[in-house]
Amino acid sequence: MTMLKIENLRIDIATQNGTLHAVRGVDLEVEKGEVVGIVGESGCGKSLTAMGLLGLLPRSAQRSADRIRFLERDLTKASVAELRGIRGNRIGMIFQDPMTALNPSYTIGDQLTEGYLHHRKTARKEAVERAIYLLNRTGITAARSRLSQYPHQLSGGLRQRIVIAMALMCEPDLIIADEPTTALDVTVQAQILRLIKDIQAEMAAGVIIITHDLGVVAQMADRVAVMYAGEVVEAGPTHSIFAAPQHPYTIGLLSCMPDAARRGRLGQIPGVVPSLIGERKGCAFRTRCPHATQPCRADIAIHRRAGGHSWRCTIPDQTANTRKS
Amino acid sequence: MKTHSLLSVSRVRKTYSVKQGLFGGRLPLHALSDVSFHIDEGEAVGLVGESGCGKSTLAKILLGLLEPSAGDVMISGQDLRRVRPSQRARLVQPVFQDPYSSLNPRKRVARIVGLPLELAGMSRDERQRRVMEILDHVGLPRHAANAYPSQLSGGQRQRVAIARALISRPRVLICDEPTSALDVSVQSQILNLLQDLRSEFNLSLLIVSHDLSVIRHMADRVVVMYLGRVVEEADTSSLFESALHPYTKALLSANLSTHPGSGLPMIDAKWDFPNPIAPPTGCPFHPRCSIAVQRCSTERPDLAQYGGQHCACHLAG
Ligand SMILES: Nc1ncnc2c1ncn2[C@@H]1O[C@H](COP(=O)(O)OP(=O)(O)OP(=O)(O)O)[C@@H](O)[C@H]1O
Ligand SMILES: Nc1ncnc2c1ncn2[C@@H]1O[C@H](COP(=O)(O)OP(=O)(O)OP(=O)(O)O)[C@@H](O)[C@H]1O
Ligand code: SF4
Ligand SMILES: [Mg+2]
Ligand SMILES: [Mg+2]
Repeated sequence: MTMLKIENLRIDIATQNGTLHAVRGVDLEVEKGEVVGIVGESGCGKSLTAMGLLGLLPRSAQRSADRIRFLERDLTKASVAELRGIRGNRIGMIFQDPMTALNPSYTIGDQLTEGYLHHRKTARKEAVERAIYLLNRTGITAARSRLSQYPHQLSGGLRQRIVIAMALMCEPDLIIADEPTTALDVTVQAQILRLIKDIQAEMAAGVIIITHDLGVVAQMADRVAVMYAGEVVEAGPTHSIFAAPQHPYTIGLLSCMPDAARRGRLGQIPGVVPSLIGERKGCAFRTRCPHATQPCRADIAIHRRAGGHSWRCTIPDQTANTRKS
Repeated sequence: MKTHSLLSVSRVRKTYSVKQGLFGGRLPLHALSDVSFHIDEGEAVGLVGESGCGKSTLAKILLGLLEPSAGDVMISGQDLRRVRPSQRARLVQPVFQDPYSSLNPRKRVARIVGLPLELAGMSRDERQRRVMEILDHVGLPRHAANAYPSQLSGGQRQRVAIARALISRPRVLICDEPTSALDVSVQSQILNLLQDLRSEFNLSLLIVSHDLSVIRHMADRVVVMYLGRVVEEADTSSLFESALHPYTKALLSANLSTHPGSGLPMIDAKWDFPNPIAPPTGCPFHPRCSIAVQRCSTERPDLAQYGGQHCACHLAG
């Protein structure tokens, strides 16, 4: 069952130099119980896409979309109050920096139970029990005594586990995790990712995980959307994206990764990301693409293959150019 | 007799004094305890370990930017403290993580890169020539010379930082997380550049990183630190193929493969990083170690040799 379907999401931001077209027609789907990874370079619009679906955008931003269907509702038509009812309740969020989600002047217990009490209108005792259950699930010892602690008394890894518990309090249908482990040490990262994956499978929740770490998507995601300059340039099942990438940007990105099996020089993507201020036509990657030709300046058709692998490029099949792996 | 290493530290300690809470007194924090370590001519050494284990502290000591509390730092056979700053600049240079904050935003690139030569009293023309030459080497277009750092991309700024380090023609570059702030596609450009420069100038490198795939790609030899101590040291292939220390093993298993389906690792190590102000007795890793025995909590293991590897664990070998 498709639980989330974003169609043609656009986000424009007014800046001093003109309008920045930060998100340019993104389509994204999440099935029930599925983990979807969004990868791409810094500034390509990953966070805005995720925040945009909930209408959590800076004042200078303007959102439009044909439809954002979440469960049975169209979020483009939802009122502010309705969106607030969904946020933290049906959709849980985990950010890179746990301190953006935690308030330094409230205890862990208050913060964990607040949303639950608000959305569920239950007795405090029940909320506290659920909080303790989730803290235990996230591997936090002496959970009950943590409830009276403040965020600054805890390590970064512990704080992130508390944010995860907080996102899960109301058993959300969808979890949005924006770089959830980027600030953590690798040993803690692996443990947090496993935790997210286990709980997600248990609750059959959908997950959108945003990351620039290709190892994280390779091991976490069922499907991947690769973004470049505000567009999804390629999307599909994780194994086909890694084994047979089709968009030249995806191919370039994968070749840049240090890999024990391939010593020697790393792949490079020459040039820099284009400015997204003002209108642009054609493929945004053409200024850096080794295969760019005249047709790349016009509108680009989307190729679709069985299994749900799609990409936006004038070249219908890149298999010949794909790295050997 | 073995000729001396290019850069070495022996039994170095560094203790910071840190304030406890709002009203608490000051307590010593042992950022480095008895660290010995060397970089040989032309060698690339990787330094890994978790946040707070003392990597940057060691890097700053090697650069002469920080005085050790005890122990010696030797460069080219001389005590680093006795080497004049101008001479030190020709031996060892830094490349830091954050190209945004390590460059003066009010100066143009040519000025930033040429400053060491200006201080050494070199003529304008000669400076100009050397700056252009080094910009070519690091792959910056010549017009970048007139740009301000804010007008450059992250990768270009890191190239400026490398150019500034190279202009004094040092023998060693100390790179502290040189690509951690950069995207993968920019990281690969910088790593390729460092490899090229290494063979071109016979440079020695210290690469500090928490990313094991970067270390594996770049280093000939790897030093693993935990809570201010070296816990393992080995040449790169031995370390990745047959790590000895339980912490190194945990680090290696935590590294996520980019081949889908390998799965998320089961990490043996327990979660929580200890408080560096009150480090565990015995082996610093024992509270997180899955194979620890009684002895591990009371007796500190020394760094001992096992074949070509060094490891500080009671149960190694
Ligand atoms: N409040 C804002 N004002 C102006 N521009 C913004 C604002 N927020 C985001 N942008 C711009 O929109 C673009 C997309 O930003 P977004 O945060 O979605 O990127 P991202 O893919 O999440 O990047 P990162 O990997 O660095 O988090 C960027 O160019 C960014 O500079
Ligand atoms: N100026 C300082 N005053 C007090 N304590 C410090 C100072 N600098 C570092 N420390 C402490 O010394 C220890 C080692 O810090 P260091 O910066 O060397 O670690 P690191 O391994 O580079 O970590 P990271 O991976 O986070 O960069 C840490 O516990 C840190 O909090
Ligand atoms: S000495 Fe003991 S505690 Fe330390 S790593 Fe070895 S087995 Fe583990
Ligand atoms: Mg982001
Ligand atoms: Mg550091």
